[in-house]
Amino acid sequence: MYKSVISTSASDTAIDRVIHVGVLFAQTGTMAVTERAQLSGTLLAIEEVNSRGGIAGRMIVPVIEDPASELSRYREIAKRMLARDEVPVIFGCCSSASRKAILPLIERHGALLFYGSTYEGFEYSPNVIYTGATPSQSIVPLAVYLFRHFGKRFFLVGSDYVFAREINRITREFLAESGGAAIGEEYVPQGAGPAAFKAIAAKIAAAEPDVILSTVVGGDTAPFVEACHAMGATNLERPIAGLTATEDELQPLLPEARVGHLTVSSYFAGLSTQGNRAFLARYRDRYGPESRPSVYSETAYSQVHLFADAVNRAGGADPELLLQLLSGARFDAPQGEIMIDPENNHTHLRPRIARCNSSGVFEVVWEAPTRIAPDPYLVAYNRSLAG
Amino acid sequence: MDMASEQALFRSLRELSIVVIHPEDEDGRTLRDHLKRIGCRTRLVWPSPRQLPEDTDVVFFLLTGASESGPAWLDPPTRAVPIAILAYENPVMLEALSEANAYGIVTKPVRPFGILANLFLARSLFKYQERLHSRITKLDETLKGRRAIERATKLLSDRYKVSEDEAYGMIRREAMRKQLSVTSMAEAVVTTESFYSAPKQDI
Repeated sequence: MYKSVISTSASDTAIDRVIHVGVLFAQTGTMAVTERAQLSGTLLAIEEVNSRGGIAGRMIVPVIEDPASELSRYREIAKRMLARDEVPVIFGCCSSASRKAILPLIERHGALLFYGSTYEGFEYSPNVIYTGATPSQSIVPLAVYLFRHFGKRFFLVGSDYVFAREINRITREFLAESGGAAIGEEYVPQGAGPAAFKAIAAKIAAAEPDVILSTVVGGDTAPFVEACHAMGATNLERPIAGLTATEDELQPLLPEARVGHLTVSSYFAGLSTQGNRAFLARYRDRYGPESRPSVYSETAYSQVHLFADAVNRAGGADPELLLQLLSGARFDAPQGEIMIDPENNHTHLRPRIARCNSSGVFEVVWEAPTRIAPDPYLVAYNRSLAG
Repeated sequence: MDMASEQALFRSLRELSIVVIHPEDEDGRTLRDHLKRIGCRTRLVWPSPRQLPEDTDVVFFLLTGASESGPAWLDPPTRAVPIAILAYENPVMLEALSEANAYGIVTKPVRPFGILANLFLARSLFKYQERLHSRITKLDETLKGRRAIERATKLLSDRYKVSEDEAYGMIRREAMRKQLSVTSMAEAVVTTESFYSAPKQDI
């Protein structure tokens, strides 16, 4: 097992022998369940790089702070990391709200942000490498799958911020132009609690949709699914489907509540790629034999390696040079080879759709034949989907 | 604006033909590349051309403040929506900005954030202004027509000693018989009125 190399301050290591990087993931609050997975993947990769002797002899030293799922904390900490600690790069954020909160700071300091979560697209910053899926790799294949297997009458439920609002706007367009309909649309503030979800579950049960499309994120996922299950709003023929629920988010639920949940993602722990077998072994070696990486851990892991490769080629951690080298960069990730698009800084990924079984493990039911190009502005789509 | 037309307006941004008048340096490339990312057909042109290609929907142009009469491509008026690229702001530039009739500004150094919103807003303002203009043209015509109808009904009611309502009825019936608009008929009455009222030797 690796010895963990974790520092909470930048001042206790000789400055020229190490590279400090900011690590900004919530360990408490509503996003903790998801961002802890990102933290695990980040630290595993940093320890791997360091155990091989670092990058040309320089160790990566993470400066880790907990923004507690609060937007103002992300901003304060990012500011401190960039101004005081002078980190050239931050690995951080899961929700779009938190990314948008720190983006002006990243740009102003000419720093580099690795953002490793699926999100709603319609953004491009030259200072960000986006390693998660965008709509062409997430909601588009998911909607096609749902049309084909369940129907076109959707009930949309989301956490009330930009991610859910934009994904649902895109979904409404696809539905309207494919002869389907959004027969209900509800938003819940993050951390609202079970009572809010109970009221929505009752509306869903009454509306009898074909599918419940959930953009409820983080720690709110389980109470939402639980409420739907208790109310009889969902069943095997009327699943809840979404972009962000992994084994971690569904873990608190009873087997009968989570079974049948559908998630679109580029990684599931059960993938039988060669890279994944090796990754799983190292992950379990580090975090215990029962642990299970999610797409968030896997993506966080891969983006650290993309960074380390670029630093190695650049001979230093100057963000501007790194951004140039990361354009078009490839990495043999556990999910398969990924590539950073030279035009838009987003990542070429292969989407999969998986279904949660009663023991809480996702089983892949559909897989794209090849990688799909990132299309953050949905340029290549008309709005009618076959299926 | 309802939601459907807002969506349509956003989606229509993707089919736009855009000309960027700017040297091919970092700012020019940043702007061009981002517009392509959004999905617009984009050409980077420098120096400033005499005329814009016929199909140009939006033109981003570097504001220089050098010419007194605005960019050459503004004459004759084009259907392209102008958005200025500003290197600095002072009274000369502000004058140039109003001369060029710009609907938005992009400031240097150019960065991607804000371009989409600028493009969207400039296009909606331009479309709104187009709608207002066509409304004003129609209202102008209606107003002119109303004046002619008022004068004609007055003339006829004086001459034939009938009420203005009856006079209006006469104009309307005659217009229908000759298949003219009421306005044209009224204008004919007003124009020919001089035959009847002026002394003979003046005709």
